[in-house]
Amino acid sequence: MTLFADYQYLNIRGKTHLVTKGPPVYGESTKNGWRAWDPSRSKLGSVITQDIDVGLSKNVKVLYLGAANGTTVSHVADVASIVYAVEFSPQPMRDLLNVARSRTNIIPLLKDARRPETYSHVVESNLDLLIQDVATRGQVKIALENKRFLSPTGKLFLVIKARSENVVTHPDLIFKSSIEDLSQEYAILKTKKLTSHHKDHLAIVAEPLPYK
Amino acid sequence: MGHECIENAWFCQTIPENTLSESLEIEEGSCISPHPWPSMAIECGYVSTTEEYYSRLYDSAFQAAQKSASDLTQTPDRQISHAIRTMDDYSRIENELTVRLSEWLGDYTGLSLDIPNSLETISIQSHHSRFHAHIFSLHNQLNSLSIEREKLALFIESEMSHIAPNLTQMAGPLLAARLISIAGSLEKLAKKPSGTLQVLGAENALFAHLRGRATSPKHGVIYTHEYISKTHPRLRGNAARALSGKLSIAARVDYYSGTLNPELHSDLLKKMDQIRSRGGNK
Repeated sequence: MTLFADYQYLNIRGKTHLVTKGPPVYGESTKNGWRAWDPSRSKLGSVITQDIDVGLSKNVKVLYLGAANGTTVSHVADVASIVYAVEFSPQPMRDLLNVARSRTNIIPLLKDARRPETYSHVVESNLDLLIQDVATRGQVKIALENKRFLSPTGKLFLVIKARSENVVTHPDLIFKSSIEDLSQEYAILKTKKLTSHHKDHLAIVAEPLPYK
Repeated sequence: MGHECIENAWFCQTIPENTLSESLEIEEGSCISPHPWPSMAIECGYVSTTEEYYSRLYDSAFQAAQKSASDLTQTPDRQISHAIRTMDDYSRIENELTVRLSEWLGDYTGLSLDIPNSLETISIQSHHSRFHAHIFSLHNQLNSLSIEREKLALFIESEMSHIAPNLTQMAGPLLAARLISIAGSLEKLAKKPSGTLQVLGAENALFAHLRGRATSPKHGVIYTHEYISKTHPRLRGNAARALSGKLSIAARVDYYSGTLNPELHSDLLKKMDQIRSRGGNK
């Protein structure tokens, strides 16, 4: 546990938490400016606590699709240098704007992740990390369409929400076909089923394959 | 780096140093593929440092997101949804407090009288106990709640004929507002199939049915419409289908054209007469 790590584990009031450094957002426990990242509220946080490298480190530039209320975004912004936060729905955007008020490295965008051309004039190319956590059909298609923002050495962190894809199909079948479709343009590094806190979700870490 | 790319950049076609025009460009602009915008912005002299670039982008994007979010939530049909929900909350709370008041009065007077009579009984008592003031205060709160609820109902009635004239003519202002509030907006209601509109408000029954535990619901909130509640129970499913079919057409006309079309309503009248003439005793 080094003091200068981008994120680390810290004991706060008798419990070990994953923490990042920044102003508090949602009433999380804090200690000396470090704030607890609750894995039950954040899929990314849950994966990091399971010791999976998602490519989040100091000074990376991130495109975050499905930013929602900005809970996870706030932790990502504590570490990254710039976070383009895309959210489609106006109500969570209000909360996201509140988070962005205390973090000037969050660029809030009220855009549809299915249509990257509507924000390609704002979001820069060659980003280091694409985080995608959207609740809609066609999640793999979104990951493929947004590959254009990633640098060849960048990483994709994708959460497939089986229930958004199709409620009646068994989640495992959806995961299987999602991985197949994604493999056309990404090299899958790691997959992990999120069971404890986030039911029927599959986390995928992948690298973009070079364009043919 | 060709000029055709930089022309699409959010900072290119704007009035210099003007956050408003930049945020408009962020909202409405587009580009096929991304480019290294920060370095291009420095190259073309828009900003001199990367820090300055991100700081301008932050300001403009923040403003753009705020504006587009409020444009989407400040529509009249969303305000009406809040009004009708507030009205329903008022009546729920009113009922709860009325039960409380009547129980309190019963215990306090030891008589089983209705609320106005009990209040009269205790107000003519010469001896006022320390509970007295609180009982009257509760009663006053109840009165003002009911006045507020009526004001809201009048407001909804006057607004709805502008927001959705056809739907209001057919369903009445309160039911029309309730349908919009359950669907989320007039747009969402207009895009729903009539079979969905038919069971809006009966979600529990519908999902019980989909899980195979119950029969399918015949109607949701449209039950409050007299065409259904005053039709013989055996014909209600039929009536609900006819009504919801016409209501969804009305919602579509309201959303896409917004003008009143009296023919729609007379079609429904004819159809309902036809259904009701079959009687319920077959």
